[in-house]
Amino acid sequence: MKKITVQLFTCLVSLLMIQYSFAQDDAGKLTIPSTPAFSILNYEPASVMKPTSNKDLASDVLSSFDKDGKLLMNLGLEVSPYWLQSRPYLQRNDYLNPKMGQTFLQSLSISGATVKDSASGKNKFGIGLRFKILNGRPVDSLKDAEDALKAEETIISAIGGARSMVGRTITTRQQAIDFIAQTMKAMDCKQAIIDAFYTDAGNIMTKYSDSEEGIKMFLEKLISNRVDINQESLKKVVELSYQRKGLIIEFAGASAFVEDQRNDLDRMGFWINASNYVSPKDLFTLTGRYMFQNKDTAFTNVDVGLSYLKENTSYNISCEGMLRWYRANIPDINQSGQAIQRVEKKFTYRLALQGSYNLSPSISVNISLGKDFDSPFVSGSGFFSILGLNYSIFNKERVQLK
Amino acid sequence: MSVIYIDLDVSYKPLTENEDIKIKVIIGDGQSGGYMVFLGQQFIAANKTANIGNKAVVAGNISTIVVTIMDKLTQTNWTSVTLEVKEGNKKTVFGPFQKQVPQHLDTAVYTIKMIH
Repeated sequence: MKKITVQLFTCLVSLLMIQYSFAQDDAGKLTIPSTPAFSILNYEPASVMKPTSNKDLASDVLSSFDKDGKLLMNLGLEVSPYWLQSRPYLQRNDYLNPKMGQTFLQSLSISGATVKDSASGKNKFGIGLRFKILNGRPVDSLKDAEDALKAEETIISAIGGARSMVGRTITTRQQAIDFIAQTMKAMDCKQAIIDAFYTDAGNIMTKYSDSEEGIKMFLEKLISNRVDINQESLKKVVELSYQRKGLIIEFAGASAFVEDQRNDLDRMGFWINASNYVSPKDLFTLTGRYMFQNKDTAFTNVDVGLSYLKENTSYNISCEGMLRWYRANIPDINQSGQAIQRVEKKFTYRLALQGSYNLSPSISVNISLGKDFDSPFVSGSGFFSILGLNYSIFNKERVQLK
Repeated sequence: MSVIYIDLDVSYKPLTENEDIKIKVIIGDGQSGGYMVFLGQQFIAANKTANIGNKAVVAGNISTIVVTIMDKLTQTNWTSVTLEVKEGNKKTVFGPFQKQVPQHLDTAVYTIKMIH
């Protein structure tokens, strides 16, 4: 009995381990890769350059070559052209509610990567892009969070106002405190907030003198304290500004090339995603993609799929269905021993149900169940070809819908 | 989180005798912030267009515009402020004044003294 139990346990663990790899395979996911160039190479570079200015970009490009002018391997580059320079006329409302052209500009991201294939020793290059044409609209809770933060930023401006008057009309710390309190009163701040300011300022002022330099340092300390206190509110605004509701349409494309190969193109892919947050916690996604792989076997597939994701604080549930039409040109030998190309065309599908339960903010238990695509290279992938149970430590942050 | 201060001086002489001078603050780079406008030590307005009065009121005085921007965008650390001064149908633009904060979530405090 004990022997049977051990065998059953071993079988179950083996099954879970095998199927875990299916569940982890990006090929089955109904998402657009965040960095298409890395995804098409199936490689996450150890070092990813993310320039935020034209100067940084020039410097990163130059440092990607060795002294002989050859491109270095195992590098990644991700750049958003629009954000390489300041956009002084892009106001908050236009940023949060962009029209189609502005959405494209704000979201366009170009990625590139180089890798040395450890098996073949050949150098591979990947290049990709990703952009949106629609980005939904902000969630309702953003406005309240922004208003609350703006009130704090305004109080900091009042302290900044006192700082600018030091040496002219403000010559003591007490005058500075009174000026700020009067300004807060004039802008209709609640008395409790003004009282709290008096208490904080009174505690801090003893550490500084009434010299011009001392008063400025005192006021800058008041500002930095206020900035620190509001970090959580700021993070909340940032988080909410990337949560969107409504329709989001996103495209991506990527190609991979191999050096020293007659036909340089190794892989190519295009993705289109239309997702709709019907509520902040309910997301429907319709995906289409085309993938081409030019290895010993040339493999082309077109996929169309639909998924639903229910997000909650403690758990997430998703279900997805995907249809695939594929064509594989497989090198083979016929009965007379001649080399031929065997063509396999087939329709297949994938159905999956996934769930995760958060034990803590950084640990979750995940389960997946379903049927994966049939493959021309693997026979017999019936139901429960996706079955996995695993846990995640230090979960990656939720993908931000920029 | 660090705070950087950008202190600037500009000069604006009234162009008319009677028209009110109105200062509008534009925060760019997709950021938001809170701002205040003072004339001398007097608080004029917060987070809206400030009417600082006509030539007789502002002559020889200093307007101070203080803008606080906490960086909210993961795509950029740029912050920028532009001032539009309107006097009747005449418009004068100061800026854009731009500064990149060192790190995401850092704060920029712009203090612009407008000498009249």
